[in-house]
Amino acid sequence: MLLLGGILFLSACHKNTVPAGSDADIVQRILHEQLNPDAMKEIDVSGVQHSVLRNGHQIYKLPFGKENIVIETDAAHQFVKGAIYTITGSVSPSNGHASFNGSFSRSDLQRKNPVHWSIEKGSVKELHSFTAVTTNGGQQHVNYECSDCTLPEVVVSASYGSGGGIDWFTWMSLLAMFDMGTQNDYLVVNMPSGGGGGGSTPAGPVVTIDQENAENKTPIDIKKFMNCFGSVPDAGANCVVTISTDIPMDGHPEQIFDWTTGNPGHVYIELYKAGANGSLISQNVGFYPGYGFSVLTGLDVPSKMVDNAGHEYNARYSISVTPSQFQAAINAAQYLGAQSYNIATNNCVDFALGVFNAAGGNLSIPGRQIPGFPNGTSGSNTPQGLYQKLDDMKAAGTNNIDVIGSKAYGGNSHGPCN
Amino acid sequence: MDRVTNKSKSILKFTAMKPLQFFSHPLMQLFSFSIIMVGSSNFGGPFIYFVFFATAQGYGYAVTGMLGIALTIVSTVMRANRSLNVQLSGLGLMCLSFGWFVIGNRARAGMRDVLPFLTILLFVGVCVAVVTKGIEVHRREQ
Repeated sequence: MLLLGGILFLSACHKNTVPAGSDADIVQRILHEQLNPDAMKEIDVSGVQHSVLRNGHQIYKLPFGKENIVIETDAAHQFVKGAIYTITGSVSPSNGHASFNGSFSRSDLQRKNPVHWSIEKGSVKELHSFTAVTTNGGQQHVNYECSDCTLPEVVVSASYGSGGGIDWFTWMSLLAMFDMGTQNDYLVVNMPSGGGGGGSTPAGPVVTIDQENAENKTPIDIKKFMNCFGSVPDAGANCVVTISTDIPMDGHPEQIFDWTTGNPGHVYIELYKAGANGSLISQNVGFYPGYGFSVLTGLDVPSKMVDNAGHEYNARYSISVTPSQFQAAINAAQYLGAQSYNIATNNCVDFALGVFNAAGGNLSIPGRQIPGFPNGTSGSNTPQGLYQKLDDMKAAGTNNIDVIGSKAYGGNSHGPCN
Repeated sequence: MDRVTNKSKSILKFTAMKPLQFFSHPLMQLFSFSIIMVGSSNFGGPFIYFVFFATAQGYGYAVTGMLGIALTIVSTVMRANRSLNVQLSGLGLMCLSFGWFVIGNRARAGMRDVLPFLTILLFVGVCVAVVTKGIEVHRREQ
């Protein structure tokens, strides 16, 4: 009897216990503190998925009745924030491409601060707007497709299933919406359910989706890009010139160079002209060496202009200018874009500063020594130097400066016009 | 004058080597490792630039590369019977350094360009030549 009692006792203990320190254990502990006892009955810790973000924080995702819970903890598994969310909708495949249409709702774990968004072609409609700076000090609301990012909030990817069909995976940049992770940390929404097979599923719920570098794009004809602004009448037009810097290592503005990838960062110019009739032209352009591998010769090398639509940035500074100042910026872009590239004395930062200052930007930045390239300079203009300058200016109270903790993406370019 | 003549002779000797000797020479190993082109069409250059400047910041791939370079240089002044092992060790560290940079750091953006591809091909050829030389010497010793 004693033996039977002991076995029953042990098996009873075993049944309700998850291994200490496991994902399920961590989630159970956190939710026990955050949810009421009734809500705890809905959680299913057997379905916990776990990912580690680049900052060391942990993301846990689990089913919660017909909804889902996502939790962020720090590296020591202490609760940072959490949310309950639901996503409804479907993937619409067409000609090898697919997009997600549906809706998204979320609230915090106490069911407060609810948000309901609709998703069309992968983009959350409510989030896609751009607030332009106007000359009269007010603000003009200009809607256009995905102004503040190039990747939609919901990305659909596909793999061929073993049965010959296609498995669609859906990823959603929910983490950014919950203020967790960065804009390109995507949380899995759904995965192919069994039948299709074939598609390899990730171990955790978070993937990082980065986009192709603009640097690999073909050169543009800067004159044709600038021609487009002629289609917007000067009278009553709102013109904005923005200088954007993409530092080599996100979150590390002290680094002049990313030695792990060979990335020196980049600075580019965004030009916006909104007419009184509602027409809007925006162009994002950057200055590059014609052939990157010639840069380290330290010589003046042929240059090229590139469409920087959707390029990453970490800080940017916008000024509202008059149409004549805007024209001066256009002229400068065409002139400076035709000059030779020199990593130390005429690089992408020099180009962007030249255009920005031609429009009245009056911006100068501290020089930085590019390793191995004194070239008779007391320091070169670098993306890092611009970032630090903008950070200082913002701290000093200058308006219209965005300094992003992680990263964001610039707007679209209209493209060339004849 | 004699010194100049000796130098000329050694240069002639180096250039008149058989292909295997030429490509497996420690100086060729140093050269091919240094000129591997890495980066992107935006910014790139010889691998030695990245190794040299990143060493000061303690990056693993760079420190490993510098150790490989040091061992290879040391092998040029050692006696023949020992130098090959040191050269092979240097080569191993160079391969580790480059592999670390490329695979560990996703820095493969420029690898699809012709010039980087050719420089990598040269380094791979030198690696094959050095290992072949090592195998031959090992056989002879047996």
